[in-house]
Amino acid sequence: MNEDLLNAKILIVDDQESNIEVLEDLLAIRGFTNIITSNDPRAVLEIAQTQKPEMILLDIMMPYLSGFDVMDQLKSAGLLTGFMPIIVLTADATIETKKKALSMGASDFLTKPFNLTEVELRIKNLLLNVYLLSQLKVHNEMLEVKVKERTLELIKSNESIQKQNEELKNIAWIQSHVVRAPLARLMGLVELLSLGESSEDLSTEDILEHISKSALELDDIIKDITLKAYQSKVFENKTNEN
Amino acid sequence: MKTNLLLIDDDKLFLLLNKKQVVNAGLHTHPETFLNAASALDWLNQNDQKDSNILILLDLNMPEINGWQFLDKVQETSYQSTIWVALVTSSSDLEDKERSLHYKQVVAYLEKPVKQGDLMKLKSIPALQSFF
Repeated sequence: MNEDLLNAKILIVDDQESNIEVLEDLLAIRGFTNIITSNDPRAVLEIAQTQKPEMILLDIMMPYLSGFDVMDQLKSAGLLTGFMPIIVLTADATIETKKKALSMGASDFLTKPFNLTEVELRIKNLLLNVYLLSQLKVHNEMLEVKVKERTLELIKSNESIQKQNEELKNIAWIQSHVVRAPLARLMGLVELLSLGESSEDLSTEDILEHISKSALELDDIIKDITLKAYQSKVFENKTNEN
Repeated sequence: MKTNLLLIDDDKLFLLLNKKQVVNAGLHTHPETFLNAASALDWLNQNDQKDSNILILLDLNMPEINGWQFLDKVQETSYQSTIWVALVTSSSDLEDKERSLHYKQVVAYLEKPVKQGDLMKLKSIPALQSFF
């Protein structure tokens, strides 16, 4: 992890070249390898957008744009999210300046003249924060993806349960309506026969013929139900395979 | 007092069976039979009169106008005749039974095949006393 921190891209912004050099040297001594610099505060926004540094060391007192103005620009561009912390560089260590910088989104301060140990510690601590924050973000995103996957699986299995339920309801409906009709006819005809009822409009032969027809109708319906039950089972097996 | 008994079923055979059972049970000597609800409604419209009692054995599951739709039409129309309905169905469906409670005309729920015993029981239903 120390290597990750030392490879972090750090942008130094100061209108005084000498200050930039001092900081660059200090960081190089402590093993930081990825330093970019600018002495023009007007270029910071573009550099931040295109090169995406992991940290900015930002001077406050500069011509054209102060460090506060630069933070304003970064904030408007949505770049002050905690993934690119800003350490303010200032010779003015008054409480007022510190308050203002903090309220505008700065994360820490380095007071000029710089102390090597302090520079290294503050930078490493902040980078560690960013590193942990990024880890957390990645974990959260992975978790979100997993939750989405699981939800999708649940929706799918729910759909297949509903489909099976429909099949069952369908079979129950057939059972109660379609099967009962010829069965009831059969029962009615048998009762008529047993009562010895026959007349011109319904002779014994007619009754027997109707019994036979109803029996065949019932047979067809039962065959159909068997087929439906088989198809439902095939569907269920397929769903389980998936 | 004029009494009429109507049998409505799209199945010719049930119509015939029910007619025989109705006559055998002594419910009515000359029941009218209809193969669809529309022709039964026509009959009602033409024969509606005061002091007329009509008992209808109504099949539920029919094409075009089913038993429920027939009942709705009867509810909507203010007939002068007194109309009672016994539902006749091949399915012993609890939902149907519950639904039938919403119609004041419905006095019985019979399962196919209608047996003489079931029809005899209609005679003891208090609401139907003025029919018999």
